Amino acid sequence: MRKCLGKDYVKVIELTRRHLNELGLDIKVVYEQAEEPMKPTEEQLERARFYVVAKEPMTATEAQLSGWRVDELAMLAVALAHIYSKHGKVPRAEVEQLLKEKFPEWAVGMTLDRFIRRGYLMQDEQDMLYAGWKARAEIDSRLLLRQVMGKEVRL
Amino acid sequence: MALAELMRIISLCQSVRLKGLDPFEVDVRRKLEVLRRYLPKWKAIDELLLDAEAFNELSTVIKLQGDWLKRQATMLYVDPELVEAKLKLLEPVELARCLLAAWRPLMALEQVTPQRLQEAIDYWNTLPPLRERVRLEEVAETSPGTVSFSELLRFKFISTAELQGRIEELRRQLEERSRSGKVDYWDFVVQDTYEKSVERAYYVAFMISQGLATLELDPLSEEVYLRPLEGKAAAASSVPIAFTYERWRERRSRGHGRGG
Repeated sequence: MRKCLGKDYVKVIELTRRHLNELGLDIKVVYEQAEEPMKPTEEQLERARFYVVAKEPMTATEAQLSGWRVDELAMLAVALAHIYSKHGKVPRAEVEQLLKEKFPEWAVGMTLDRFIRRGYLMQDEQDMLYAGWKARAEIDSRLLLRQVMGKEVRL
Repeated sequence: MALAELMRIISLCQSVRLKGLDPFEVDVRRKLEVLRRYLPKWKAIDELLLDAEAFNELSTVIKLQGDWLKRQATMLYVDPELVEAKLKLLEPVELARCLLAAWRPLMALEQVTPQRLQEAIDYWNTLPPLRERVRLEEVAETSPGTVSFSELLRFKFISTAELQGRIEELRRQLEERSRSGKVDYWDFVVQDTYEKSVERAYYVAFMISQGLATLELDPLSEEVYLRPLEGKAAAASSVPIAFTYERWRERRSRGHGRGG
């Protein structure tokens, strides 16, 4: 960014953000470390990635039109909420166990693999799952947990 | 016993670090006391290295504890068990709604630029037709043949020094055996296996062609004898000896080559 836009690139990004906001878009900054810093340093900003994202959330219809099925969305919600609540990483077996309570076994493994391929989840050699780069760019982790905890449960 | 204690501390810290377990499961103060108690006992470098590794792992756990607390204090702390319970109770549709509310998808535009179009046209214009690209290479057919020693040398399967060494060794053996009389060719050449015998016959042929030995033929009995020479090239004559497998078996059964 510094190379393309010069040393005042942060100001340029802010101006771009204002213009994008008028179009219903926003800029999401994804830092190298998992936690978003309160006051990012120059080095942190230089290593960060900048994405253009939608300003408002998608509706269920829009998601379906983009090719997402409800059960896939639910599985991604469960996997990510579980990962975020356990400080960023959990064994894959644990997520599979949780998903198998509501989804067929054959679908669980396949769908998790698809999330990994699409960048929403990441898996290491110890079979631990993390939020992938795409989840970090697109999903507001705090909001997701607040949504899950705030939902009323019908017993 | 004390070393086993160190190994246990390292292993515990590593599993906390790698498996994302609660770092407060490790009683750091107590583990540090253990390290302090054992430290004066360590003399060998390996023991001291292990102690340093355990100390390093404990310091990593302390850092993880700090991160854990920071996370809980700042933003995301919700009891994981509570979240898990909620996730189990919510319907898939509601879970999907939770995700959609927190989801701001990436925006990307895929567009062909005039410059890219020009590149594509250039590529198309310079691309040879498929029938030319997939034309099969013409391959000359050769029938199977035998490899000569000179080819083996050229392909570096065998070196000249190695060949010469083997010939010298054979010449020494021939000289030793010729002290007690004539050396029968088959007795000299035949070995335990057919392959070894053929190889030896090959080297003997080289020895003869270099003038280090000669062949003597008894016209009556048709026996062939080997005699060492003093490095002088013999008169050029060739003696064909068929070395077939059947012949090797026959000579072997007659006791040739059993003397070593």
